Amino acid sequence: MPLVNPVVAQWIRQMADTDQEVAYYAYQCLQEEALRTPDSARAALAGALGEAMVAQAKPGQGAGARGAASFKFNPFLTAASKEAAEPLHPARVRGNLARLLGYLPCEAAAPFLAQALNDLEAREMARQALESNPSERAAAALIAALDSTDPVFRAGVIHSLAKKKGERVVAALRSAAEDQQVEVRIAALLALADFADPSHDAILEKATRASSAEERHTAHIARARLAEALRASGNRQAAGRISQAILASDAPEPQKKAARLSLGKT
Amino acid sequence: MDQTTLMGRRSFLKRSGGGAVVVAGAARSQARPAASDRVVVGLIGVGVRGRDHHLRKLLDNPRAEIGALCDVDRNHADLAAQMALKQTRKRPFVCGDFRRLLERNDIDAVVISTPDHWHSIIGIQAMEAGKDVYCEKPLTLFIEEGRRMAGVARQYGAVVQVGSQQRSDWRFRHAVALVRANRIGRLIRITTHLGMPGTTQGAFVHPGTWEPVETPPPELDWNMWLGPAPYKDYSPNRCHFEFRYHLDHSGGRITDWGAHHNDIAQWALGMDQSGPVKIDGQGVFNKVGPYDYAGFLEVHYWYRNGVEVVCENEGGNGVRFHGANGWIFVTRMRLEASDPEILKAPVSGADTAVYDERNRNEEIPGTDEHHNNWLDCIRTRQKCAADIETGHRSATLCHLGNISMRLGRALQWDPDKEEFPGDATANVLKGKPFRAPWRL
Repeated sequence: MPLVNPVVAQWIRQMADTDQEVAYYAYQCLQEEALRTPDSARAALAGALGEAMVAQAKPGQGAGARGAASFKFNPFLTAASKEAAEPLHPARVRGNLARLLGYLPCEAAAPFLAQALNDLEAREMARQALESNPSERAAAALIAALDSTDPVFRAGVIHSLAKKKGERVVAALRSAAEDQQVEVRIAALLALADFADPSHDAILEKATRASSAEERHTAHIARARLAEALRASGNRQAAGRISQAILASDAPEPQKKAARLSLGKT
Repeated sequence: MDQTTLMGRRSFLKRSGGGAVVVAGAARSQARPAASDRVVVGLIGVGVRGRDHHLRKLLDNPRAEIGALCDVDRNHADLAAQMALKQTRKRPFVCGDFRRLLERNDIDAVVISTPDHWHSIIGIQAMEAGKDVYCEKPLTLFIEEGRRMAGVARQYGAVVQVGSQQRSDWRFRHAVALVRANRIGRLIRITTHLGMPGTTQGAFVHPGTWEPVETPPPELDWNMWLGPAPYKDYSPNRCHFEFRYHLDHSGGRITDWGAHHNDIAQWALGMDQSGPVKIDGQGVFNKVGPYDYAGFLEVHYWYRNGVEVVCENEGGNGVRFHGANGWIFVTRMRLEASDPEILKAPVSGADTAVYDERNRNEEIPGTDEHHNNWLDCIRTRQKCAADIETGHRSATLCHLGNISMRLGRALQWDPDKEEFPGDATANVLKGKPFRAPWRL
């Protein structure tokens, strides 16, 4: 008996159907397959879905839509896109495949999702799938994706990294707190607050004096979150120090109230 | 005999806050309080539920003042603003982005009536902005969101009421009190009936109709409507009321009606701080779309005390308690028992006020009392009738059912650690990454 249901390839193709009902049916079947596949077959199914997600077409046989539509008014890119390999499946299918890989939390899914982080049309779903993937490869791929340029995507990557562990993750987040893009810095402040590490307070405290009002506001919230994370982890001393610092600062009243409650002052 | 059945009704009411609720309610003056004593409320999400239910009721409530309205659909916001203006002759602050509302220091509390996928983000940001919260049921779309929300509520000392207003309806209170006072003998099973297709209550259990994707109407900020949910092109039958039939925005039938009736089951079991240990659900998911929730379902939950809860479509709409010596059935506007004498339990003292007759004829029973309980608690800083931990645990029960149905197998659940022991796939479904730039 094959590890992967032979109908999977057909369902993948069917997801590209222009009939919404047909495409939806195929996705539902694949979703059920992904959610109900036994542990022993998970890697094989991840491989089948992943290969389809990153598959390239032979010249002239690809999904086509991206080169024709997105780059219609750019003569240089249009010319280049004729030469470049195109994805075999359209964007909607690739995004769905990335999403399905998120239901398969295994090492085998990570390389494909890492590759899909370079696919402008599927990367957001790939990023989300990597967030659910427990492998070290997933964390490494997300760290590498911080080198992209779109601030919203990068903020999403940081949110995903906040769910990961390890020195490399923390180092990447600390670096992101100094980023040039304010959206990235704000995301990094909240992410750092999720790690019960008292040394992060220096970064957060500094951000309470940032030039951006939104960044200052987020930094105050992040400090309160960090204090709570430390309290929950059992480090009440560090939590207390941060709460005292919040009370002595120009933090908004809600964060001061949280600090008072944390210190037992009602 | 378990601890639940040993608990007397008076002590139960005391523990559940029922006594406090009633005393505060009874002492309430019908005169309009001074402005400084009124709670200034902002409503986030003023579609059908937010406008025709919460706004209308709160405009009539002398203890609340409508200070702000927010909706990503300008038509909804305008209709709500007109309604407020007509009644109060004051135009509230109106916006399309909830963050603008939360920035305002003149707003004390917010009512969240958005689609479910927004509840946790708005709820947490509201509490971190120092607001008290009334959040529609189900509290969450995913289990992990609820634990985070409950933590923030405790950290900020926020008063949170979850919109499971059946907890404030005398019939449900009475039924639960009778069950917990052992009036039907040892509790064996609770069946929560969510309604069947083709009946009035179940009229919306259908697969939907495929519509071509459209450009969103100009009054609607579609990207903001979607928020943290995966991007989908706009179609009318994904948006507004019909969000509840799409698993990206809601849990479907089991979190819609289940959030009401399963909540009552948890209450009767004394499990407001806990949950089942095993779940086995079977559901029929619609594979031809566009609605993707389980329209037909049967989920069995087992608790440590041996009681089984069965959540299903069949059997009408309501909650049936099966005891060793009889049964009680309760639904909106109706309370029955295997023997009418069971319902004639003696009541005395302050407890009698629980059976307040004022909400007997409300179109959605319990609504006014639920609002009033929230307003009382904002003043007293006590826990609400459906506080956040309660709402989280009740929503969790529904989510557990969905997860079991989607995985097609029975699941073990640790209600203390809130995890599926050793089950990687099931644990993935406890949460879901948000679309950037959103996060909790």
